[in-house]
Amino acid sequence: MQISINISAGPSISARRIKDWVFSALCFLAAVFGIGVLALILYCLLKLGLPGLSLSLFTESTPPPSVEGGGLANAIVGTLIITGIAMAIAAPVGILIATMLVEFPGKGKLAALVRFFNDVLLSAPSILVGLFTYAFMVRTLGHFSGLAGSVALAFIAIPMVVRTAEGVLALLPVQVREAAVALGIPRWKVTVLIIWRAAAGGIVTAILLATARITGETAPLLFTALSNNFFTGNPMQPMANLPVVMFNYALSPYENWQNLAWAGAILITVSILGLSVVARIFFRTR
Amino acid sequence: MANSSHAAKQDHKAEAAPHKAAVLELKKLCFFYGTQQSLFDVNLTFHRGQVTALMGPSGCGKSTLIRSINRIYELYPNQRAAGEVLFHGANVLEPGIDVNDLRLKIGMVFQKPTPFPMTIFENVAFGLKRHYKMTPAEIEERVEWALTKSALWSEVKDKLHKAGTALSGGQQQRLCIARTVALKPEVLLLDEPTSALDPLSTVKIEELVRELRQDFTIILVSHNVNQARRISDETVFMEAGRVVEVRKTSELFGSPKDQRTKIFIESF
Ligand SMILES: Nc1ncnc2c1ncn2[C@@H]1O[C@H](COP(=O)(O)OP(=O)(O)OP(=O)(O)O)[C@@H](O)[C@H]1O
Ligand SMILES: [Mg+2]
Repeated sequence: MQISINISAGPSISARRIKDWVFSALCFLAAVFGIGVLALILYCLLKLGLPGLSLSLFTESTPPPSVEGGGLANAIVGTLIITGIAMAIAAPVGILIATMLVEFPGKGKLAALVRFFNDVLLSAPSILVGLFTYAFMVRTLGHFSGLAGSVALAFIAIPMVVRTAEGVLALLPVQVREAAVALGIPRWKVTVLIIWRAAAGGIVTAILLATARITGETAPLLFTALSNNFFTGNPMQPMANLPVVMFNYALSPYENWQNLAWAGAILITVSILGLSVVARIFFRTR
Repeated sequence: MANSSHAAKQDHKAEAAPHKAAVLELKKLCFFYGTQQSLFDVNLTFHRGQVTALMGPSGCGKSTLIRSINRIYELYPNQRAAGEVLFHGANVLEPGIDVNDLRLKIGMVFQKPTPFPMTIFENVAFGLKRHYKMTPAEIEERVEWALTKSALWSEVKDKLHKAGTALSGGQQQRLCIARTVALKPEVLLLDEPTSALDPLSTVKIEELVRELRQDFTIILVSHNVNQARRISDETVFMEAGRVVEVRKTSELFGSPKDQRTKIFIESF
């Protein structure tokens, strides 16, 4: 008691209190601002999107202009297929790269180079990735396709998976690695059977977060998957998908299309929210 | 295969019992972390059926020494050993050696318990499944044998399919010992296996080491003088990367020859 009085005595006591108070207040305001913006977005989304929500959204395809009704079935399925293929490419590639960085860095030069390129790719604007995929895939194949969209999205997802999975793998105690190697078990088996297993929760989180991130990507798909007014499950054809349909419909003069765009926005928001929540739960339980 | 070699080993021991056979021999062993040298011309012999304690102040190179025996240091590209580590007369530091086979014969238990992310049973069966072609019944039998040897069976026999990480620290350490013992290695390297444990678990593991001595060649790192005195047959005292004194434990503690050994022992 005595000591604390001595320390806090002096002329600066009230000044420090005020600084503390101002700082806390600023932090609080910033938090309120952040939450407020989010709330405003959600409010607009719900107000404009809810009227468009109905069962036909999932059963009917996108309607021609100025025709009432219709839905987003082709775009929903398209998004699922495009995202699914993208993650089927990005997850294994990303995990293998992260594994190489953490488990087999060698003398570290190659690892440093890979890490550098990964960081560059991570911060590359998605429109660049779309343009690049357009040049080497759409132009080569001669037509837009869902697959090209998947490849573009995979390029965006890979560096995210690498970054998150690398962090998770690096967190594992080296002692577990050493103990397994000391049993005379080959290095690659140690990696697959023990390291990946121990890091499974974190790796799933990495995949879910990357999936959430690419679910709403629009720019790369404009150059690659384009869109399609008809229902198709063939990834070699142009494919409808939620972001591009939203982009087209929201800017259109037709009220029905605008409503569908907002309904699509709700669908995307809900799925991203859902993925993030599941990812969080996964990370906690592990 | 494992069973036959084990039987052969025991026969061999029976005839070699009077003068204990040298299993491991270090000749002019040097060790480098990058350019920094941590072991200097270490010459040592380890005998079958004995516990040899490595003792010395922190940083003197005890862990480094046993880590060069199973070549675990090779996980790190800048670490290097020179000299000879003769295992039954063959230098294991030679490039042509199958390190996985070497590590099967020379098992190692670390300071911190490191259960794998799987059940208790799987933890012990893990190495067995990778090294031997055994039927499920044989595996079960061997797992029970190893857990019994490691004085853990009675505590876990009803929860073999619970996670290994759910055990207490002392139990986890005995699980790690069981995991290594299950492979029936010839040599056991123990790096301060009790330093993270409470006194009761320590006693259990010390009893275990004394018990296991019959079947294995054991090298135990300990910076606890009393532990070395309690459970070892021979004691090596090291300082600054060099061996200072090697004697039968009772002699070394009774009348240390070297002044440095004397000071270290008396400081406890
Ligand atoms: N990874 C490493 N990189 C560089 N130097 C190391 C490394 N590990 C150990 N050393 C050095 O090697 C020497 C011997 O270390 P070692 O770990 O073998 O000591 P120890 O006798 O086991 O000590 P302790 O009783 O504290 O475990 C020390 O001087 C240490 O600084
Ligand atoms: Mg040590």
